[in-house]
Amino acid sequence: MQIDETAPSLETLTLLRTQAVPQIALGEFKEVGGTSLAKNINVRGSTLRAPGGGNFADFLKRSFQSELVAAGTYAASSTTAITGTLEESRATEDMAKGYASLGATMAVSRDGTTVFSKRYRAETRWRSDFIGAIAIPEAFRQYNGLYSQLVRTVFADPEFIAALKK
Amino acid sequence: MQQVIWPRVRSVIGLTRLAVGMLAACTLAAMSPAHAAKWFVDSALGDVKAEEKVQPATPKPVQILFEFQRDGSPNPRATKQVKPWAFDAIKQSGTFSEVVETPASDGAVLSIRFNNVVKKEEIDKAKKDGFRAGLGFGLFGGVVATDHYVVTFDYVPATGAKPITTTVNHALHMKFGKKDVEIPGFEVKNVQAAVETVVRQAMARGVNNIASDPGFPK
Repeated sequence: MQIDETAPSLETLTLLRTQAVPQIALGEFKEVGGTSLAKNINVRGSTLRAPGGGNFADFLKRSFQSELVAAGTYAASSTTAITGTLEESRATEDMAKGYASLGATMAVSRDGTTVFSKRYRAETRWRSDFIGAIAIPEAFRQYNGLYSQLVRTVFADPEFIAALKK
Repeated sequence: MQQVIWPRVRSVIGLTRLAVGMLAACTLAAMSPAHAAKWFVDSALGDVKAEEKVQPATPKPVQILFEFQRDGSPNPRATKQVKPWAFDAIKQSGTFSEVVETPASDGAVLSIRFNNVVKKEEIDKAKKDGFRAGLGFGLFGGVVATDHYVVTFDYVPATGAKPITTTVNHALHMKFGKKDVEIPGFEVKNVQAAVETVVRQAMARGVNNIASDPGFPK
């Protein structure tokens, strides 16, 4: 199964517009150490994959892009760019409860020089089920939802916004 | 036909999916048309009547942010399936001059959260009834499952403006096997028609509520 694009949210759009975030580009998004960290998420033998044969760092970039485009603050030519390193990506469940987490160090660069970086995390817990047909898609759905949650966490951080506006 | 369209919408519905899944595991090969699942759209909401319809004199463009949720958390797969139906319904309302996903010229945004609310006690009952009905091939029992939807509309006329908010409740019922109960809704031919009708009615009602607000640009 392939992970689905997350929908832009009013909360993130409002954060970007009301804080007058300037036009931003997106730079490199990679997995920690350049390894293939969590190319797939496996739950009870079923696999969730990133789209187009890519990895989940690419997917995180797409999630940022989706929110920036919706807010009208994405410009590929901007000298201010966001880059990311995916460091944590997992989903587990034990037929009774589930847990998924996503963690990345997000950085702001200006003219190619990093001016700010900070680690951000998003996590979720849910009640799982002994029926695989229910438990597996629910675990994937919960993991999928972490991407928009992580993007919102980053744009809700005043330090990150200040770095974008400097 | 139902087998063909079912995969397209099965992840949209929560409780009914669960009940059908339970009984399908037991009856897939033996289920006769007489005992196939029947779908009902709850009749409490209904369509927006002509006399209720509010039409702005000068419709303005709007950017739509649409998300299908399950118990308040995102369901991206269902969002992808349902969004085209929601957009069509909003366009057909005539409330806005343009309905887009990118920023509208004046910054107006309509956020729609289509939340499928799952009630634990109903899930447990649907599982139990679904399993029992499945074992009897629908001849010695049945299951009625209801999917509840709470649809929240937030319209922001311009960046920084106070939002206009309205909430619409809707429901979808599924009946299988011998279950002699009255369903508070009208039957539709299949699950796709059921979900499309729920979405269309909820969109029409929500957008009309927003347009009826004194703060909505006329």
